[in-house]
Amino acid sequence: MITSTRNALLLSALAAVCLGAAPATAEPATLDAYARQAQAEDPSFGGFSAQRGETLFRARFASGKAETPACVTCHGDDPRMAGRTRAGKAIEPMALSVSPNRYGDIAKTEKWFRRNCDSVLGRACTAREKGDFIAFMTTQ
Amino acid sequence: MTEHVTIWDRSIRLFHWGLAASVAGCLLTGFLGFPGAFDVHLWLGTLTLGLLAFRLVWGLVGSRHGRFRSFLYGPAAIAAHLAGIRDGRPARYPGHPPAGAAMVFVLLAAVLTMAATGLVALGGIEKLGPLATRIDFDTGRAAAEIHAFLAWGLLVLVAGHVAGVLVESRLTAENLARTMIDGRKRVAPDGGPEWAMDDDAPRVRLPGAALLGGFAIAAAFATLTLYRAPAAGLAPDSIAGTPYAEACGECHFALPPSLLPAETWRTMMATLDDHFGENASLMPSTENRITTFLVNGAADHWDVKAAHLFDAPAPDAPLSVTATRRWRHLHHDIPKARFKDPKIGAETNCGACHADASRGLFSLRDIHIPETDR
Ligand code: HEC
Ligand code: HEC
Ligand code: HEC
Repeated sequence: MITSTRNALLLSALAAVCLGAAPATAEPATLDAYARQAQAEDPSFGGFSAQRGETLFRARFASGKAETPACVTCHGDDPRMAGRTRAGKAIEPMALSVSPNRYGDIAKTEKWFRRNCDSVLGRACTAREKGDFIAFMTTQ
Repeated sequence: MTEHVTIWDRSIRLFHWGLAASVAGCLLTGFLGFPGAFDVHLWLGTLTLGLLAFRLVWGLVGSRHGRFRSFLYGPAAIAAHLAGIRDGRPARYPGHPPAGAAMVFVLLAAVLTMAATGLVALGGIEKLGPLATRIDFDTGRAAAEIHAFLAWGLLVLVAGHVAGVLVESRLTAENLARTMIDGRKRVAPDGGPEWAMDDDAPRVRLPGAALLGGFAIAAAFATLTLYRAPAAGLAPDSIAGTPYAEACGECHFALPPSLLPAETWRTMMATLDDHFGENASLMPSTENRITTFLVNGAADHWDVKAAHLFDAPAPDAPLSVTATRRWRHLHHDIPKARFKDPKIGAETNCGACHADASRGLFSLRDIHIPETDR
């Protein structure tokens, strides 16, 4: 009885620490680069939206390759969980809170946007779409 | 009161049962490919070779009835002996009777051929053992076919040998299998001086048990060292840690370049933007480097087993290894669901089951299907 109360107290204290902490990671520099690019592509650009990013992440497209209709095909529905490639290999979670090293290496991030946007949408993503996607992942 | 004399010296008896056990073990591990069977097969095969070498020497300088000359019978003698068996009253011989003697020679020749073709196959196909540098893959494969075919022949011969011993034992009222244990035979009523183990010819004496143990240890040593891994230069270097493994290992296990011909790699690298239903494109400079790496290490440049197996592409998936008939055949008894095990993931994850996949070896000694506890 006593121990279980103490455990409950401990747990709530832990939760308070976690929730009260600042966001796991600062917004990556990559996002600034995409913001400048988006501004150049579209002068009416008004900032990234995590919500639009989530829509992109979850939407199914018919315009890309048949095998890869959506980002979630490989990355999975929960950005905080590991995904899986079609060839069965695990993919580290996309959420920045779980995989803090993501989106820090712009060459790598660009390589995958180039590949995956073509596979899923059948075209390149715009800088705004890329920024939206990362903005969504920083909130996860 | 019947008189018994020792006919078979101790070394011959040890040799006989040692050979029986090692040949039985070879057949068992050869036919039933349970995990680890190949290691035991190599060890027993090498032991068999040692025993045969001993027998050849013993056939020249051993005791009387073990010397080859003492049981070399012509067709007439064999026919007469068989006629005796047919009539139910075979003549008795101190050593091997003519039909049995013929069987001994055939068996020794068959086992020797098995050991020889085994070594040639091991050298040519697996690039292991004393012949690894001298035998090419095609020769090795031919030897393996003879080896596999002759294994059935040997099985038939062994059955014939056992049946012959049973029949002869019955007809002569002497348990011949027992005579190979204690070495003693019942002297025939009209038995002459040949009913004895020794004669005037000089004979070498060897501690048979020590010899047998020595062979067993030497064979184990050969199995652990000589057959462990191909010498450098005979097989590709491991791709682990190379820029190729990094660039092409993101979505799946990076397949060793020696699995596919250079032409296939060129085509694959030229079509990375539509790679098995995905865009897997690289920056042009990286792409060029990877292409060169793949072409230089392609199946065309290696004689290892896996470089010869998957050269007939599947019509509907010409760039795939796992779609080839050979690959499907080699893995047909692994259930599809097994590949979905979290520790494996997919058919393309060769490295999960083949510890030496990164060297392109796929040795029979290095296959372990991982097991996930549930
Ligand atoms: C066919 C499977 C697949 C699909 C579909 C897919 N991805 Fe990916 N994605 C991957 C793999 C594999 C990686 C590499 C992960 C790693 O390096 O850990 C990756 C990495 C990324 C990265 C790089 C992350 C970083 O660390 O910089 C981004 C960004 C990304 N994907 C975005 C997307 C978007 C957007 C979509 C949908 C339009 C998408 N992916 C669809 C397989 C896929
Ligand atoms: C974006 C993900 C991705 C990347 C990067 C990638 N591949 Fe693949 N590859 C695949 C998929 C998906 C398959 C189909 C696998 C399956 O069906 O299980 C495949 C299959 C293959 C196969 C056939 C495997 C088989 O089944 O026999 C080969 C060979 C291959 N890839 C080579 C390469 C090479 C070389 C590179 C580097 C230039 C590369 N891959 C990079 C996704 C990728
Ligand atoms: C689930 C485990 C598993 C995976 C994954 C796997 N293999 Fe195998 N492989 C086996 C087993 C088991 C055998 C032995 C089959 C037998 O002899 O009955 C085998 C046999 C082979 C052999 C023949 C060995 C011989 O000498 O007979 C080759 C070559 C081979 N595999 C290549 C590959 C390649 C290439 C890949 C990846 C594209 C692969 N394997 C993936 C389990 C696997």
